[in-house]
Amino acid sequence: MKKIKKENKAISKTIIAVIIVVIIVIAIGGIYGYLVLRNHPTTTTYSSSFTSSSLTTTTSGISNLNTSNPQVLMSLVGLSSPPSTPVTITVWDSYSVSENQAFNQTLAQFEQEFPWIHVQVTYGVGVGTSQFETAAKAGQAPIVYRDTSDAGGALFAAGLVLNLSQYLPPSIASLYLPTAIKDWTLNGSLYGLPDNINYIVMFYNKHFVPYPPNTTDQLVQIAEYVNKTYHVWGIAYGAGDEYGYRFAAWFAGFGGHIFSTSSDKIIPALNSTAMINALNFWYNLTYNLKINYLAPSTGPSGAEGELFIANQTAIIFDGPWDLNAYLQALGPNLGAAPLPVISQTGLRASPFIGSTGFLISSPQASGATPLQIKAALIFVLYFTSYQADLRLWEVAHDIPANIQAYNEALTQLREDILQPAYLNQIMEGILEQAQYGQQFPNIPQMAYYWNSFHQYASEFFANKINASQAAQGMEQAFIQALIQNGLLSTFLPLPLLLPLQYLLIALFMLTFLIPLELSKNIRKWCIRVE
Amino acid sequence: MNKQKLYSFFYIIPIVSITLFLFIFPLVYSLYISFTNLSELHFIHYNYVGLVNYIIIFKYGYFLELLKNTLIWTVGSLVTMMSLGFGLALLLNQSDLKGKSVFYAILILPWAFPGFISLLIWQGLWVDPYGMMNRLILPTLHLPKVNSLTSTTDAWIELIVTNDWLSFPYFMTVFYSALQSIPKELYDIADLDGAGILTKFVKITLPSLKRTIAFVFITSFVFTWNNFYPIYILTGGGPGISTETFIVYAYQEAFSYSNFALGAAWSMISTIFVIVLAIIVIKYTHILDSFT
Amino acid sequence: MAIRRYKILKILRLLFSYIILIIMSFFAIFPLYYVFMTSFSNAPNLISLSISDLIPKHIYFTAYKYLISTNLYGGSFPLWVRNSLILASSTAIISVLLALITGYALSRLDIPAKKTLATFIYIVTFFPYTATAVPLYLLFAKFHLLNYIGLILAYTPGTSIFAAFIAKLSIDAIPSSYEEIAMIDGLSRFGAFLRIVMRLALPVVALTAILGFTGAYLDFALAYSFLLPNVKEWTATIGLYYMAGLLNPASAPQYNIFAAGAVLMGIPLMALFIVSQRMMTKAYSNLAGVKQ
Repeated sequence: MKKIKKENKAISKTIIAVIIVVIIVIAIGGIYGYLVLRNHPTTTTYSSSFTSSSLTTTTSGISNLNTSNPQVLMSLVGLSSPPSTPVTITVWDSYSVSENQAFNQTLAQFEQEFPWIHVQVTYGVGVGTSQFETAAKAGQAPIVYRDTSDAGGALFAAGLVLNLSQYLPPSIASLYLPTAIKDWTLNGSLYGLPDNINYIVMFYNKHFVPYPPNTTDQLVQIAEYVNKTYHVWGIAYGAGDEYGYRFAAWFAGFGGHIFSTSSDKIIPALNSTAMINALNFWYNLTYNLKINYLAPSTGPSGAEGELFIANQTAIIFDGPWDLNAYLQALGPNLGAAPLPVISQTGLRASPFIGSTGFLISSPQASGATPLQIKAALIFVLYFTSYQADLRLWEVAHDIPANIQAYNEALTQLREDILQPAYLNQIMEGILEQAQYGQQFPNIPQMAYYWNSFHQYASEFFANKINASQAAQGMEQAFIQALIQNGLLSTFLPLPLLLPLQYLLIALFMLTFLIPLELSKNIRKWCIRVE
Repeated sequence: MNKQKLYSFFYIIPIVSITLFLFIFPLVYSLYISFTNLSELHFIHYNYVGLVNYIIIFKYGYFLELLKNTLIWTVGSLVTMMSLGFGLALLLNQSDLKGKSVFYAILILPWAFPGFISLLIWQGLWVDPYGMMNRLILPTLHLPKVNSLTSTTDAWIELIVTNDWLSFPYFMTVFYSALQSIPKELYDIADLDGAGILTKFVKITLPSLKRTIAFVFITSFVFTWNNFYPIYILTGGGPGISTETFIVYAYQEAFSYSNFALGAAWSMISTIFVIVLAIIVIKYTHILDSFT
Repeated sequence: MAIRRYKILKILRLLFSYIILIIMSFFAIFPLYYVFMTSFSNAPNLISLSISDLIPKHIYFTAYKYLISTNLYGGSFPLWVRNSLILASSTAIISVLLALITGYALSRLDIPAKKTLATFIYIVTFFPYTATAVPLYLLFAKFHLLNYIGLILAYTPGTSIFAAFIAKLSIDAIPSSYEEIAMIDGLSRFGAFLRIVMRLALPVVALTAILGFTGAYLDFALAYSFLLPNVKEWTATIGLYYMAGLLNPASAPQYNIFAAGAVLMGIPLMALFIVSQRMMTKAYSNLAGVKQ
């Protein structure tokens, strides 16, 4: 008898201890919050007047700034001569292995021309990860960071990244492609400098595909032809497994827009006939005509890429960052062309034209001194200058964002300078797509597009819902996510409760532990009866 | 006597202090964060907002769906893994079986090999129709194909079978080790009394292993409940969110949306659930009593 | 007659057991076969598109050569593997010490509020790992412990708490008279603990060491956030992810390198498991009890 009592006491003591601790925590939290709210009545709300306007168009033509020249750079940041003490800056490098070859060459030159700047590079950083935010919270963020324009936009909105418009003259913007600069501008402020632009194109296998399709009707025809004649997949596009980065091109081609402004608020516009038509188009190709393989993974090592490399599919949609693998596998049979025109609407399928580039962390996140900030500015200007960008193009085939380098790249292609010879035509096809893209939204709202799209698109392609339900669902999920994250004001005021009510709620939540106590007592009573 | 007690307290200080720093601090920190609005927008200056995140979870969140999924994942994985491990342990426990250590060494490899590559390989194996599971193995066993992109049931099958592969060696080890310690005399006596195989199993084996089963069940229940990687890598939450569990959703909230406060709130809810369920099982089976 | 029937039944039983064991062994091994085949290929693919791909036509050592010879600004894969081994071994040793000290205290010593403390510690570990990652980073950043020492501290409680309970059971089974005799002979309590208890509870020591080692050896998330800035201090997991191109989604992941790295990392791990096979299969024997 005594033993049973002792054994049960351990658990019940723990439960009581936990309950008491929880009540204390909630009470303290409630009282504190009540006091805080009484003294600071308003919480900072996020103003959603974000229109990504481009910078002023006073400069026509390329600026005459040579951002590879040390004197020019130093005067841009306000230094007349190199400082007496050397300064160290930390850089997080998110380049791939091939891009790093170019980066290291530029780094060697940089260190020669600026001996008073020591650069501490961290390799192996991923883009769009939260590692930067975590480090920023601890004050350990690097001074210079390289990321995509949309991830950078979110960081800028969070106040973690410097507003470069306050440190550099507006003529800087004219050094880069307008699309690239637009990607890096939020609400009129420039928050980063681009070093490449990236987007998807249509890769095709010349062995199967006689000519690149210009319209979707031609696409379907060619895919059917390939299917019938060679018994391989016409297209491999896993629309059901993606997060909307590539699908946005088709959505735009059918006339859709991701966002629209209504009474000065930015709201999603996914629920439109454009989305329904786009979804149905790909559904048709996958399940009715059976010319598209719904692949579970993209990229050269994913299902799509492997099929393409193994000559099991004629067309895939991927970006030039994966070019090398396809080049090695297909050689002269590889072709690249812009995405086709949608026959129904006459609009082109316009992929996102995104950009990767350098950002400078705000001093709160990195603990940088003003001199380090100046050194960082010099760094990002130098590494996005003509020579640095051209190197990236030549070594890694990144599409340059620096206008001079971009023009030089076009010249090289026209003169068939690239080796091997067939690469020139491929790169021309890739660069042609740059004229027919849509801007990659970099507003904070964009972060909530991906999961909303994925959830309902995957259900649609799994035959669980129809297209209009999918479009509605996506929009709903998107709106909900925006509300939950404070980017869209809700009409239903979420109540903030007083401490007494907290206690009551806590007790209520904990009362489902009471049946446990009761059942234990009942058992004890039963044993006693025996 | 007091000096003895004080002296013995020193033995327990290391584990208590480490638990304090490494579990209690994150727990309290997450609790605190879940009452604020720490997210990308309110990163540097964030405010206390009370129970707003929890209200969001219950009002707008997919709470019931996620709860259902987490239960399917945890219970489904555990039941299959434990049965598999138990069965194999029984087979290995036969005294006249030859080559035990060879079999054991082979069967323990899934547990020993780095899981990050195994998950990727399994992801490739399940691709329909090219992966080996759908191409060769399932047709040979006359089973229908499994395509996790188009069917939720298929997605669960894929997840649970892969999880079984990853963890059955652990259970096999535990049960084998426990079976080995049952004295042989008990079986011999039962044989003399004329007991059949089934009676021996039910009357001797099972009762002796009751504590093992219960302890391992609870620990693995919690581990599977909080196990994030298989689902994230294999289906990413499945078609829609039909295979998404609490922990995967919390991770997405925190790291894809950078809404750390909401992610913390989801983690708290998930932990409360698992603690309550675990306490129910602990009290019912009285296993922790021998530990304290 | 009866003996013959008994013999037939025995042969059937053994045959059945062997068949099941062989099938399960095949199930356990074939994904690992894939890993090996991928590591010896020169194309980064995870899905073999035809059955003939199962038996490779050429064996390429490019992945292994690349791993072993590439130098990344002072770091290289062999260096990182060495780092991993050091880190994992230290974690294993400290986990063992912590688990056994706590288990010993729980078993032998009379500590105030022992039961509540033990239950509380056990339940606190139910908090998910993904939710503790960020608070831990912030905590360790404050104390400037974003290095190996911090990592070891972060890894130990996971295995130690669980192992402490198993250790407690195992030590319960060792009669306290052994230590009392030793203490009469002049050993301190701690000396008795080291010499006698550790040796007799060896299976639990082995299990804890292996679990601690594996956890630290294979962990990516925490190591990545702690050690990212110092290339020379990277662990093998971080280095492998980097060299296989998995850290930057903009570059094509090379799964043959990933597989090769996993094989290189997995071989010592598998060896460790197989060597301590016998001890691990005894670690849980105290969990079973014949009491009903």
